[in-house]
Amino acid sequence: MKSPDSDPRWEALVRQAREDAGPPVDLPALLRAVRQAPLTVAPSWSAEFAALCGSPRRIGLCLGSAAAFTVVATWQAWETSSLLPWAEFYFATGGMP
Amino acid sequence: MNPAAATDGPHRTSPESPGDGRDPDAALAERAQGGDRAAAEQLVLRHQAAVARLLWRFVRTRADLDDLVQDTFLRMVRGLPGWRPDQPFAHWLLRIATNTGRDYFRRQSVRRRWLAESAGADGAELPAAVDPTPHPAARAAANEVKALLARLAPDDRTLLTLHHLEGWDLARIAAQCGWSVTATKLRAWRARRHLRALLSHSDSS
Repeated sequence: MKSPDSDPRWEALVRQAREDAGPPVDLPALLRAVRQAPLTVAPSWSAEFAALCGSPRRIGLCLGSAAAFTVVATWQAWETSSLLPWAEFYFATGGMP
Repeated sequence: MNPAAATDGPHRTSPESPGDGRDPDAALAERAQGGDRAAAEQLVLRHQAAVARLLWRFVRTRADLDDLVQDTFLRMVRGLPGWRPDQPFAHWLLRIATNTGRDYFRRQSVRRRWLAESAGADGAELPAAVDPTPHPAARAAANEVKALLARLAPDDRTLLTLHHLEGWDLARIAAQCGWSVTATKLRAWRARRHLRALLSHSDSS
């Protein structure tokens, strides 16, 4: 297929058309419009996370549950460790016979 | 001298040349994201000439140009929370401008169809307002090219407008319009074929 680019008349027309410069923008009107537009503030990561989880209350609930779980798990591990002979031996002697 | 560039004054920078590698607009854009209106205005002042230059390829009158430039910057303000520092701000903004131009072509296409149906005319162009220019020959040539491209489908018109009038290669057009390079090449081939037919028709008539 013969491209329009290979048409000398079209090429000359396009070359001349590229030199056309537009009129200046109405800058005061543009700035007025931008000033009136509500500026949307980018949400912080915690707000994005809160939006992801539904509400900040859910995040608090989640963090509280995680803390409660950690306390219970640590307590259980401590209770269990005292029943394990090897742990008693290790803690009593520092690993030395 | 480009009249649009004259409005920039001391705010003029080169959005396409970051210099030390860091995006010169990143700091302003981050401040604007945080709600700093002065930073948003600085971005407008920096980029209005480049945006107007691009959008002038899509329109023929100053009124339409002002509308599209305003629309582009309002979209920028609304879309600022979605901008990420890992993408050059100037490219992001020119992508918004390109989409604004595409939307304008789509609206024009719908309006032309509607006018042709309601008046029974062959999609006659509305008379364009005459804006003074220091280069009337270049303006006449640009208007002739735009009138020919106006007879293409909106996306084909966008592609050939950016390629012929703005001198962008197909890879850049693909990136700006969100198309794949292969699809862009295929679209360009079809659009050129259609344009070739229009050119030979205008030569014979």
